[in-house]
Amino acid sequence: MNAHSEESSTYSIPRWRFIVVLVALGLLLGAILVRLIMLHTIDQPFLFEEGEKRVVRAQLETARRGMITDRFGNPLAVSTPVVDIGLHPAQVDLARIPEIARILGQPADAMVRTVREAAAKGRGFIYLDRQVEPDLAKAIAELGIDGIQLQEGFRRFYPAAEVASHVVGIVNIDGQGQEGLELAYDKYLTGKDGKRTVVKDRYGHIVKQVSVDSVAEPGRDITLTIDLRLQYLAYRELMAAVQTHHARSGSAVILDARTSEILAMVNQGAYNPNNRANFVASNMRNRAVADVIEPGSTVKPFTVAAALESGLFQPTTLVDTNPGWVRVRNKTIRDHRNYGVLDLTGIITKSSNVGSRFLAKTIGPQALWKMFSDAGMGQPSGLGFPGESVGVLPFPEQLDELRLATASYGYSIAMSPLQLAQAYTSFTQQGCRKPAYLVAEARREEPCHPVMSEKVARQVLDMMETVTSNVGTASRARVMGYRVGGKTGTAHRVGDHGYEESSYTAVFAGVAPITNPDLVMVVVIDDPQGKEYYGGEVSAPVFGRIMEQALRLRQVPPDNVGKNGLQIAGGAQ
Amino acid sequence: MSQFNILIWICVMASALIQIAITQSNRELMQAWSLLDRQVKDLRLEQTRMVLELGTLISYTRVDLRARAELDMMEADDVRVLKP
Repeated sequence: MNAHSEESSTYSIPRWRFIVVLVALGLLLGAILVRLIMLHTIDQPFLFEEGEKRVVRAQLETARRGMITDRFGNPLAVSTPVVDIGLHPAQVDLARIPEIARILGQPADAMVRTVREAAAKGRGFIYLDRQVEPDLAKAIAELGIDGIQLQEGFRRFYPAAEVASHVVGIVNIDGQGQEGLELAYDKYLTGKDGKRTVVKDRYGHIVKQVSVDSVAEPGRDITLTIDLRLQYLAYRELMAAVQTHHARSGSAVILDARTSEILAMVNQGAYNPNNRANFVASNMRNRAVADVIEPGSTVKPFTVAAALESGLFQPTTLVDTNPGWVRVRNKTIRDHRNYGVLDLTGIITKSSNVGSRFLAKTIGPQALWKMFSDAGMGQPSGLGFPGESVGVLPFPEQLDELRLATASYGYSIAMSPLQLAQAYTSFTQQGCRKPAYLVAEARREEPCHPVMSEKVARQVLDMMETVTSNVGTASRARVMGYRVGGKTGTAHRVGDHGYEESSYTAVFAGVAPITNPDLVMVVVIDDPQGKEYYGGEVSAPVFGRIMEQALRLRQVPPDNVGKNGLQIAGGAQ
Repeated sequence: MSQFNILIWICVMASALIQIAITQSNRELMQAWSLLDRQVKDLRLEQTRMVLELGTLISYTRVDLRARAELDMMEADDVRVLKP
């Protein structure tokens, strides 16, 4: 004990060592203090920003695209929520991938292999499946697997499929309009995406919501003037006719005779917008708006109307069409056969080219051009539809003797089926023409554009009724119980070497009922094959079938019930 | 400690308490809003599903095909129009 005490008392730490340690500790403490001060002052903004970057995320919220409906609210294009399923390959537990595969109904082996390969390649993110139903996504989220990322979005569905595809159009996978009204009204239909600031952990889970920077605003809905019932009727009958006559394509347009609302607009071929795998570019064109045709004799009512408006002709004025042909320059204009002397009604009933040429020559190019132009030919319809064709209407100075003659019966001019239908509303709206429209929200109260006098419109309308009589060219357009008027047209198609001898466009434009017109319809069948190719043989029956059912659906009172009040199919009373 | 200092202390404490209360209130409102927003989304999902289902069920193509195939329905070929 004593020895130990003695040893302790004799051992002493050198003072310099104590000072060195103290100074070292002081320097260390000072360095820490300096670093702390630097971190909290000079480096603080940078470090704070870097920290935020790692945990705070801006999360986008996709806005719902507006719905497109028909005039009765039936959906034509609907966006329904879906979820994209993705994952971070490096973070996910491969042993749990089969659970996801089972929910998605995919082979587990393939999915595991895909994820493993993605991880090996160092890919940060891959999609397992896109546009999945929310219920499936919820089931996957409930598995609680780290590294899974769910992104909410929308998918566009088209319940009417082919029937309304050309009118409604399509969107791409990102929800942007590509065709039809989806493209024309893209800005109107597209909403405004929302944005939220959230804090996420390293696995991508939202820990808390920091702020809502902007709330998602859904796109606006659009109501069309289309009546889906008529749209389907027209589609069905047009498809049957195109198949029966092995035609290249076809179009049909139905307008409300009083308001010019487009009630139906269909084309063949068509496409199913819900099935992108079978898209054919040519089938996606809305031919009723984008394609132009030479309307043939369907413009003769306008030639006759121009003649009546000139005051040089009356409905009873006689025109000598003997011998059934006439030579203009180096071209022979022929009638189907020699009709002899015809009045103006007869020119329409028999569809006399010689008679039309005589009327046009008498009134001159200016009067004919004015009538055609006032009827909307060679002018945009105002629909704003993508790819709309304006058509061709030569100026009066360009209408020399031959072109004036051919224009009088529908050659040398071109228009879309919609333009032709719109022109025919001149007869049903007391000589005025209202612009056709398709979107109820875009309706403009525009003054009626005068085309002809009310008296002339009525006279020509009555003349057109004779076309569907037994002696007319379109008896097959008749509808039992109703007075129907119209005009057939058969035009040679234009090929690589001018007009083709044996290829035609068959057209019928008509109105019903004549007493108080309710519907205007144009049917175009392009290049029908076989023995029947005239407008009265190919297009008029389609018109008759659609019109018969359309008038019944719209509960239009019959105006041709006979004296005994009963009319039986086939015309017997 | 002067009266002024005490007053300052009281103000600081009150300000802190108000700050805490507002923050708490904001959190509660945010939570309630998030809940309602979720409900809106769910309802919208349900609505679009119903609309889509309706659109599919009333599809004239489908109705027409089934009427012909299953009910043997077809257009009338002997129509009689009675005088109204």
